[in-house]
Amino acid sequence: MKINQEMHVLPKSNEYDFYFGPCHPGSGNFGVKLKVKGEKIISALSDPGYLHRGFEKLMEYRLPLQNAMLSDRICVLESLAWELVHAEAMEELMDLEIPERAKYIRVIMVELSRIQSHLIWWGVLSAGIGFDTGFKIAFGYRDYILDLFADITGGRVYPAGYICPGGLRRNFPMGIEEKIGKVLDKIYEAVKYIETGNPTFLSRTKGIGVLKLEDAINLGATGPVLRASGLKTDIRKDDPYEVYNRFNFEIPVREEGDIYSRYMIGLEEIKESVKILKQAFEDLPEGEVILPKFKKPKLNMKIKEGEVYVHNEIARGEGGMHIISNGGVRPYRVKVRGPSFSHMIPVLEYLLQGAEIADVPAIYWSLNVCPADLDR
Amino acid sequence: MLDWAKWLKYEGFIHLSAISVSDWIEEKKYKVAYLLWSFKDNILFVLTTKIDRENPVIDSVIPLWGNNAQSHERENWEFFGINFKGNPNLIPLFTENWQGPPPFRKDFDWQEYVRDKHYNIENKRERGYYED
Repeated sequence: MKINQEMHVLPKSNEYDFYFGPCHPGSGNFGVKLKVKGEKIISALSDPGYLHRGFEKLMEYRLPLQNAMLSDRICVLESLAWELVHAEAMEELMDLEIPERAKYIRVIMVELSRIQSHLIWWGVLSAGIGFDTGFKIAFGYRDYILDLFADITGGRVYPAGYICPGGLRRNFPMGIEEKIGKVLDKIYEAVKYIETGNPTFLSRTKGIGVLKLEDAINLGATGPVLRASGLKTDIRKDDPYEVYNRFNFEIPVREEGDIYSRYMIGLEEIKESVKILKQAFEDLPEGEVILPKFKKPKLNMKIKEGEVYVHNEIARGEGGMHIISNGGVRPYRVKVRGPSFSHMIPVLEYLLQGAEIADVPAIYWSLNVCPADLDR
Repeated sequence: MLDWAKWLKYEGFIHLSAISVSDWIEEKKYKVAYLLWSFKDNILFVLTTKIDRENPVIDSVIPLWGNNAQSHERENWEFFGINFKGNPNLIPLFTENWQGPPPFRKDFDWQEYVRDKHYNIENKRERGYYED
């Protein structure tokens, strides 16, 4: 009888703290401290810092060519895009005009990088809602693109400074255009898989994690997250860099702002990227890919005194670098603006309020986050 | 500074990309740059101000750019020790139990700090860090 009596004693309150991450397969190197009542989340507090490598400080101690190598480590999932941000900022400081062919190859590499990043996005979002097949399909198809990167740059994930100040480390290898063509056919296959309206997938994503446009702007959302909330903005169109102003492509926009609309934006963007790639290959000019001065760069090359902020539309949103030089061989200060900084701190904390515990991984991954570019 | 910021927000610079601080040690000043973007006109605007390095205090821009500004200010409070007046929640983002000076200041030598705090000259494997 005594046992029964004990079982009837309930805790006074069903409020408790719940730690999502950092040692959780569904969160990456990042944690969220949740205050929970039953299944409902009362408040959330982001807990970053598990991947903080101090790149901003480290770059003050390194030469631009070494920084090209560091910059691709800012985000593991789209290293080429971050290399481009760094290279553009340095070129603007040094007043360099790079060869035409290099500009086209840069666009091709960055768009391929965007496609593989969006495939990861779809993969981890599927894993977040318990649809493991999607995860495996996405990572399988992503591998075709990684093989291309290995052929072109020498590295699958980290291209080791392929896009460097002054152009590119090396030209396209022989016969790569046919290979890329074949991979693009594979991407269409992947898109077909992504398009299937799995009813379970839809019920877990529609109407959940809704971010209204006004809140999205106030909380600093950019890129696909902002577009899914209804603002037509894309830095590739609004503030064109490289040769993006020569290509025809659409900016996908949706109004709902929920997980499903963010996922659809990712899907549409893969299709647009394929369009850009095809146009880039049609116009690809011949010639050199690096300025002669940078073929064998001198280590005591001075950076002109000045200040520059370069921002690009990378797969996750606005990726930018604010670099200040005082005329020395090393940058005086580098500030990296990662899109996940806003998406993982203010936006995530806001969206998790009032959500269910089961929806935490789905909301988390629907924001297309990367703890690496938040922590830097 | 806050009046300028208010005017810019009114003119359409509703997106705060980042707050970038640089340490000018010879001038004894911090330069605080607000990187702003207007979705309406597609213009980038950098609002810059200089504040005293030894006693860095500046008004918070949370009333203008909301919670986004809050987290950017938190980061700069942690790395440069700038006190943003009006920010209610200045707690560390990245570091844990940090005892030293603000780590992104120019006079902070991270190599020396790591040697003092975390390495041991007696240890054979770590002796290399003490040789120049």
